[in-house]
Amino acid sequence: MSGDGDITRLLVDWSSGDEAALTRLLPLVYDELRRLARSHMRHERPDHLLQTTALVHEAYLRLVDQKNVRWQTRAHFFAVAAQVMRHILVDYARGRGREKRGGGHSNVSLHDAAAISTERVEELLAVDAALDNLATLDPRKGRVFELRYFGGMSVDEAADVLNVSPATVARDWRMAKAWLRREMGDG
Amino acid sequence: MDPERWRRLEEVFQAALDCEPRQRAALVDEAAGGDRLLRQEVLSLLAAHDRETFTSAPAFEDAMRVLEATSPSAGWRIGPYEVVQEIGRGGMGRVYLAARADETFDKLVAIKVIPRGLDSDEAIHRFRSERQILATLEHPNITRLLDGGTTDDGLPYIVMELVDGQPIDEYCQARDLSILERLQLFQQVCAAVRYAHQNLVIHRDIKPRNVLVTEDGVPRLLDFGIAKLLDPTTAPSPGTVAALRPLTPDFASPEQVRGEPMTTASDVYSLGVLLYVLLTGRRPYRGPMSSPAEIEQAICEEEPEKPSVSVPDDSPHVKFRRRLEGDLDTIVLMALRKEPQRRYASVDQLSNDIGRHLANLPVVARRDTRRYRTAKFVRRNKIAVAAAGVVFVAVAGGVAATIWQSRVVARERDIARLEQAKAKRINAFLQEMIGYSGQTVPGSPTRAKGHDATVADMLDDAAQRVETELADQPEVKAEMLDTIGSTYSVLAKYDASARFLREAYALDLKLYGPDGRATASVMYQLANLSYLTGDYTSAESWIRKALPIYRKEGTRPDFELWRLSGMLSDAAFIMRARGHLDEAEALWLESLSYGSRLDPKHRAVLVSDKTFLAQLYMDRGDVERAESLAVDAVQDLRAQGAPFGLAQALIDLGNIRRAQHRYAEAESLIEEGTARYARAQGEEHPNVAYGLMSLATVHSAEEQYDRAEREARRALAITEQASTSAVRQAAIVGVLGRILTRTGRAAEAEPLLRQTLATVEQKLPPHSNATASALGALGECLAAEHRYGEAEPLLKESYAILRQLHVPQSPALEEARQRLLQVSAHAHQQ
Repeated sequence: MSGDGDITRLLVDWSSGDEAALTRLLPLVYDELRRLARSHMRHERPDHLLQTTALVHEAYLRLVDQKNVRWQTRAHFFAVAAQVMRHILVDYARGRGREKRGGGHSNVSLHDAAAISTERVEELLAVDAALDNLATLDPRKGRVFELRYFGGMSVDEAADVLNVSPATVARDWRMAKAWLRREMGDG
Repeated sequence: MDPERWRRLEEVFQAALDCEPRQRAALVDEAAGGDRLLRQEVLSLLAAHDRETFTSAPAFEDAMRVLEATSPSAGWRIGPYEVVQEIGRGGMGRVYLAARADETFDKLVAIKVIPRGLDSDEAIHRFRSERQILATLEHPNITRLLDGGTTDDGLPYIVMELVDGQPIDEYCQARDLSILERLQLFQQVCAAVRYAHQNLVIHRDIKPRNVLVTEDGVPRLLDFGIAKLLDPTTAPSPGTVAALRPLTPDFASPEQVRGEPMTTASDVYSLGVLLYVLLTGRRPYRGPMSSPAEIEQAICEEEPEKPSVSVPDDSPHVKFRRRLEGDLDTIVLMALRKEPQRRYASVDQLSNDIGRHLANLPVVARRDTRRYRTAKFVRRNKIAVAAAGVVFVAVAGGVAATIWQSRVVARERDIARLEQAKAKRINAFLQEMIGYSGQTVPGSPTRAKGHDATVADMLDDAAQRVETELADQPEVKAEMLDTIGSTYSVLAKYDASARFLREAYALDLKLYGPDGRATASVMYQLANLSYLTGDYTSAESWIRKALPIYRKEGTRPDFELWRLSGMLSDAAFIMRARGHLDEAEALWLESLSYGSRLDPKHRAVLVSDKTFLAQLYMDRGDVERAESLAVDAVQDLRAQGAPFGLAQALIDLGNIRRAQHRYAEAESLIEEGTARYARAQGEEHPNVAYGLMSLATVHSAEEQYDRAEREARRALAITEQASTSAVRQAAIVGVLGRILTRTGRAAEAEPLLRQTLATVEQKLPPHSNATASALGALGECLAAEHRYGEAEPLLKESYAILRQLHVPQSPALEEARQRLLQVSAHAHQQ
């Protein structure tokens, strides 16, 4: 695949602090995740749900030249993926919000086409808005929440990406969650 | 919030979380000092923390589903189609709204992509051929399969007509349809399923979501046979059966839940669930159905409540309750029986029973008896194949029986006619022409036996004299040869008969030419002789030569019309034996058409034509036509007090009642017929055997196998002792073989059934009901021994024969179809 080298270098650059590298990485990772998801979707039984972690890991293996990176690079890749996932989910949620239920075709023996529930859609939109506010108040807590919530990362992985101690991540995480929950109002 | 305040807020919040919960309030109070706002903010954060519900990475896990749902849709090319959007997904794949990319987007289709590659040439071939079968389904209530193929990355897809409609249950509720309207709508669904079954396609996934009703009230069935197309077990990839459990199990049949092969009976079941839902607003099972074990428990063990009882008090269906009691309860529960063979034998029967209910006629469905509910008959007789059999045994067994029985009747009738006409003539000839002065010739047919010797002696004597004494009177000699030959035939001395008839024929040809009346008469006699000796090919060729001459002669005033009528009737017989059923029917109808012009004595003979015609209709599975003629014949014969004919007609009508599942009537009719035969001809007469065999098939249909077996064995013993024809015996052996198969003794049945098949194949034309029946019986037997590969071709042939011979609504045809489907399913699973 062309661009493997690019992605690897961009990832290394970004993990060494080059924020501009991230803007170039995002669309590349985004495309790969979509491509992989599509290919999986067509090949797997629909009742056999592929885990997102596996998908991101597969994208990582495909995009990044493992020999030329440190082990922390995987965590950085997942951090990119976390942002990509946030985009994907929020875009979907916004789309769903616009769509009026019951419109469209009632045909062809379907189960519900919705990938996620309406309540979930509402939560995603609320989290997204509140998370923007949190990031303004406390960028690191915003990152921690994004990595964990949208990126599925463990405390240790997030600590690697952010270059802080796991204990700090844990404390940021509980503060971020409590604050977001309160901002979102409901329980 | 300024950074300093944010820092303070976090400090207090974290400290509070780190200390003992009991000390939290005190800690916050102290840390906040007098800052009431800070205190309040920390407390609200702590409260939010306590009820916080984000799990470690919840959104992340959703992402995959969203990716799947959004990634492929727009712009994806599937074959010549371009996807507009995903419109759904089910257990069997995803469905996209799409349009042909090379056309304007005004013609939209639905495309189902199967999420599983076809991994072998065989699988690809199977997918293609299955698709082709489905594409041939053309019915106003069935969604067309338009196209299919494989995507660029090798996934099979099918393209279907797009239907805009509402699931049938929602439709009925939304429009508040009456029971009548619901039943009529349901019958339309049945018609579509029936059509597919006739084309050997089983739906396999009937449920409200697959039955959409359009704006103008037309039900459209979706996904016909798609389940099989997508069923991994149809592809050679073992070990995936468990994954096949239906995602919406409520409509699945017990056999489907158990992973056993599905048949048309499975669709009958699912239709039963659908009807249940339409009438009651709820599913038939109450038990939990969240795990596979619970699903199996509910569907395979739980007895559904009667629909009338099931309707909840607060449901809008409550107004139906009274209407549901009785017939509709019985009909729905009959469709829902656990054992496929105890449901309606076909979708048609289900639909017809609803029709009978609507017409206020008695329904066929019977209440389940306690015995079945407790005995779980299916467990004892788990051979899936035997399942389809009950009615088939009945109908096909009866068909085989009528083949030989009709010959018996024909001979008796011939005796009667000859005794009336020829025997007297012989006497006259012998006395007048050759001065024979022996004893008088018999008068009464019922005393035939006692007179045989006399007639035979006389004939032997006459035969010798004809040559010497009539040499100079060729016309008289020819007539004498004809008469002597015919009479020998009646006495079952066929060799002698043939000798004299051939001599008469040669002489007539010389005297009158090939179109002479006398020549035709001898040809007619030769046809009958050939028929009686089982040489149907010769019989046909003789009768075809004689027919036009008789028809021509029939228009002359000096020709007795009853002769023409009788000849047409005999010709019909021969045509039937040769498998030319349409010709046979036309000939019998022609014969009957002379009825009003015959004198009462000869008109009485026509009743046998009614009997034969009824048998012919039964041979075609046309039960309805057969019934009216047979009822007529019984009435006529009772009025005439004719013992033989009545006995036969009673048994025939009994066989028809059996095909109609009216077993009690069938039993009493056949018992009366058999008793009449026994009284008139003795307990050991082959006709009694025929009656017993018919009884055996009734009892077999009623699953009273012990009784059926006793009757079949007794019938066999009679025919063996009476050394009756091989075909007759074969028919009885066939019935016995089926009984053995169905009672778990297939190994014992097999040699018997092979012998039966060999006999009918040797003696009868290949496309006969008897052959189909024998093939079917052997196929059923082999399938019961799980030798599906061997059984399938036999059942295919049997079905092919019946399909040629039978009318579409024939129960025997339906049974053969079911059986074939079932065995094919097994064969391909092996």
